[in-house]
Amino acid sequence: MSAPKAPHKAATPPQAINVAVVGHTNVGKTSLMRTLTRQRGFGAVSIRPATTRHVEMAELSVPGSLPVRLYDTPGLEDSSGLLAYLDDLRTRTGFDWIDAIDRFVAEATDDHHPFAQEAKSLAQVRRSDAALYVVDVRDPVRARHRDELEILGRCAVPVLPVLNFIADPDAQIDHWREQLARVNMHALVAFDTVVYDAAGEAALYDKIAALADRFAAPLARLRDDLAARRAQVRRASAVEVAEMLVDAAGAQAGYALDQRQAQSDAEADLKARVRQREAQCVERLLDLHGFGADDVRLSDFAISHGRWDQDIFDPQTLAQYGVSASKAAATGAGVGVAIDVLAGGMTLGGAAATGAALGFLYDTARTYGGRLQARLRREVRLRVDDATLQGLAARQMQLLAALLKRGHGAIAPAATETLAPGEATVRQLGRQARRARSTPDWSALNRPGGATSGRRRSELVAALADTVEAGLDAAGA
Amino acid sequence: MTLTRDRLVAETLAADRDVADPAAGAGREALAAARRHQDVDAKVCAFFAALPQALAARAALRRQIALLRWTVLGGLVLAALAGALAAGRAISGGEREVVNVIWLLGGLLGLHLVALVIWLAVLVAGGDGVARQGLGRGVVWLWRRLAGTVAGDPLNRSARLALMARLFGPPAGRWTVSTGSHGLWTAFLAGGLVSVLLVLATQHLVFVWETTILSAEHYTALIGALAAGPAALGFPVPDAAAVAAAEWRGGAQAARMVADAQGEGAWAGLVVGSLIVYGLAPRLLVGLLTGWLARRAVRRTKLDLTKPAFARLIPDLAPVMQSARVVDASPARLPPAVAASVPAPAPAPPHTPATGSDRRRGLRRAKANAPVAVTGGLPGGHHVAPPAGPVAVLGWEVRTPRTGWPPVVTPGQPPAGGAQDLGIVDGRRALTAAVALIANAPPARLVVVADMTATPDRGTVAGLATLAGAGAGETLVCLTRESVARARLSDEDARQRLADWVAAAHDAGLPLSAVVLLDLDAPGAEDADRAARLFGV
Repeated sequence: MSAPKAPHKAATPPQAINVAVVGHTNVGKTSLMRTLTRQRGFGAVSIRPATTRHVEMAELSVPGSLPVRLYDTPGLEDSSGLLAYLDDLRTRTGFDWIDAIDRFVAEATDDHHPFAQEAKSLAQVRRSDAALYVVDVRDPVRARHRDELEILGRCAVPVLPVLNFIADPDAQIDHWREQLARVNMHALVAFDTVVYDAAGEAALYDKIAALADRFAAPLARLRDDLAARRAQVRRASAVEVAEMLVDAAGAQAGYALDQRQAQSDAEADLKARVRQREAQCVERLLDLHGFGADDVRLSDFAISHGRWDQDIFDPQTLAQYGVSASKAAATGAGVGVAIDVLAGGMTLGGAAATGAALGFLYDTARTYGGRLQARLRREVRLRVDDATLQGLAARQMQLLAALLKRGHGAIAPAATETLAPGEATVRQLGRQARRARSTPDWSALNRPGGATSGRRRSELVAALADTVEAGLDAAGA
Repeated sequence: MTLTRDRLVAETLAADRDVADPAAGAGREALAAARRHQDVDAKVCAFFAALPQALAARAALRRQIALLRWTVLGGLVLAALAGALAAGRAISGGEREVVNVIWLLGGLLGLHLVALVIWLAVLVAGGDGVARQGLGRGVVWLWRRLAGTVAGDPLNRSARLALMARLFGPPAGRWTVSTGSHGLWTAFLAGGLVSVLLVLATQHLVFVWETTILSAEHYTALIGALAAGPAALGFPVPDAAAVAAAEWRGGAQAARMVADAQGEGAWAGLVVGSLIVYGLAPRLLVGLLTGWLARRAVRRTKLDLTKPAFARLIPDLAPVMQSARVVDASPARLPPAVAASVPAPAPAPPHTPATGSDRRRGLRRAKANAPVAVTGGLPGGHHVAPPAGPVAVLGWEVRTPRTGWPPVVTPGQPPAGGAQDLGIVDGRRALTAAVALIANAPPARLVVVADMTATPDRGTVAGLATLAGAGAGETLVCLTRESVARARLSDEDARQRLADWVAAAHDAGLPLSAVVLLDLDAPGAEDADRAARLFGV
């Protein structure tokens, strides 16, 4: 029998772990590939049938071990027809299933063969160590699914069903689980290509490892490597948010006390700098997560072109995050801005300044020296108020939580549940960030060349990032 | 050292996001250079090392390191001078002609021993406390101030911050700062030793001990214990008799008597030996140990890849997906999205129903390879003629509508307007049964209820072709679940989906007008009228 032999059956040691991604047409095979490879541009995805007509291999490198090769295949469009064809072939030739499938795969290489597309998929399954069978659980189990499972089940390759679109309200996970059990498929994995779930991805590799246990070690390595990468990106994102908060909290704009008209200019200047810093933070968060400012639509977070649609200094914005902006008006400055005027040696809101400055005489002298000079010059300093700081924290945390949940296979904004950060987290972030107020040097917004980066600033950024991460944990992201 | 330098270059240049842009021209070349390395840390280093700004960063780092070296050297010289002065005062500062050996050793070694014990205690207590206190911190502080005033430009500043973080931040900081402290103390004690040797070489000193309340035994025991260390290293030390004879009771006569009783250089040996054994040697050894630990920590500390400036590069430098290629190409001649060919086991060329749309069908056939572009509604959606005779209804892979199967299309009327029910077809066997029923008693109109959320594929075409050829007078496809489909799809995608269904119907041999939209679950105002005409109610 001149059937194509799978490479792992040869005597040479395997060069890679080959995993075919198969399924009916338009169930999200290419989307699954995109999410697993972190490549938004992998293949082509559309709502049309047979968008993918070739077999494309993506190699995932596993540090210090065999690479994992995923194969995106064309959809199985007419499985009922194919099953009948294979049945017919078997009765004509008297072959068993494997021989019939191998014969079919060898014969159907001609593009004019009615099942040329299915042959490409099956040929790849036969060459692979395992197959991921992707299903759209919004559909009920149909005869064509049973036919597909029947054919795949005869390919002598372990098959792991992957339930896609489980986050959709129409998803019928239990129905699928039960129906798959009827054809003896008890190991399956629920993994949404749109709403990313790190645990689901880890489970996917673990289950492939369970089905193809000679590759358990490299697959476990891949899983751990992915977890480490995710932790890295998560931490970096938290640090990015923390840096922004320190910069915003320390931002100042000053004007002479006897020039009242200068107040609005100073206020506008301060606000512009903070807005720009927030936009920069959004851009960097998108960048960290592999989303461009324009190539992902984030309409569910009201972000367009890398900027929040609603101005942070709009009191209604803050109300959305449960932050009340009441005190600002009382101090005489505009919304979102607090006045730091030194009258009689007393600072308004100076309590925040003291805590951080205690015991560090040099810096304290420098800080208060600056303030004293400001007082002598009769200068007023404007800062971002507490409510705005909390608003900034809440917004960026919400974006971050959503980005962590977004698969690279998402082609449209998903109806993800809003992962609003907890009120306690936001308040704590505001409290911590206030420590940066006493040291305007820490804010990159006051020093065009970049902020000073002393040990205490690094510690504050680390503490803020810890709070952000704890908040993400609490929000389940 | 080159790796450490490369890491420092990376940390220096990472501060400026525009410099380290992997999308820019220089950045792309650097990416290519960096991909050759295996380890992510090495990749990041290689990326920055390959940037054109790396040269300037190296120069800035060299300047900062030189400044740090000079600062340390200055500190060592100052410490040695201070040690010499302090020891000189301790050994020859008194008015008396004799030197109290206990006071002398206490003055030379006391502070150092207390500081050493504190250092040990903080180290054992854990944390990075040792990096925050002590003399070493002072040197760092001095260097920072100097560097801050000397170097104003951003690159020098970044270089200084990078050095600060790598050398004096965690985890190396506790060892580098400790090494600085031990180094300064070593210089201090060495200065003291020189000073002591100078005084001993040029002055005749009489070493005594004295007491008011303690007994002589205490002193012989104490000095004997102190002398054990230097004696072990071969320093001449006074024996018990000499110690006993060195008790000071006051008066010039006594000084002469004690001096006569002192052995040749034994007391000088004790002082110098103690300074070396209890001062210089432990500091030097601990300093060498922490220096080795510091060196190791500085070299072994990898780049902090959770820093946003580095983390953003990782997808480019070490992507999860290493490579991608097509291993089995698309067919050379692309068949239409929904293949026109009918699979072998299905009945051959479907019977074409006699309708008035043959001309339009011909047009469509001519450009069958182009995707069907349906803008707006459906070609025949609004013009359903009443049926010419009995109607049969069949569900094609459809969920049971809200009103059950067959669906109630007009309230008060029997389901499907009393049409013949052929059931919901799912799979080849059900299809064959339905075709047999149709062939038995061909209806004038066969209504195939299909799901708009489903993607019509070759299997759908094959099924529709089989139904179309079963013998019914005309076959219409009624697309239901439009509201669900529209919730899932964008407007553009929903239009495309309708076009795909029309194309599928066409490929199955049905006219373009055969597809009718009729949401059975959420019927709109027009739907009732359309349903009435469709089922002939």
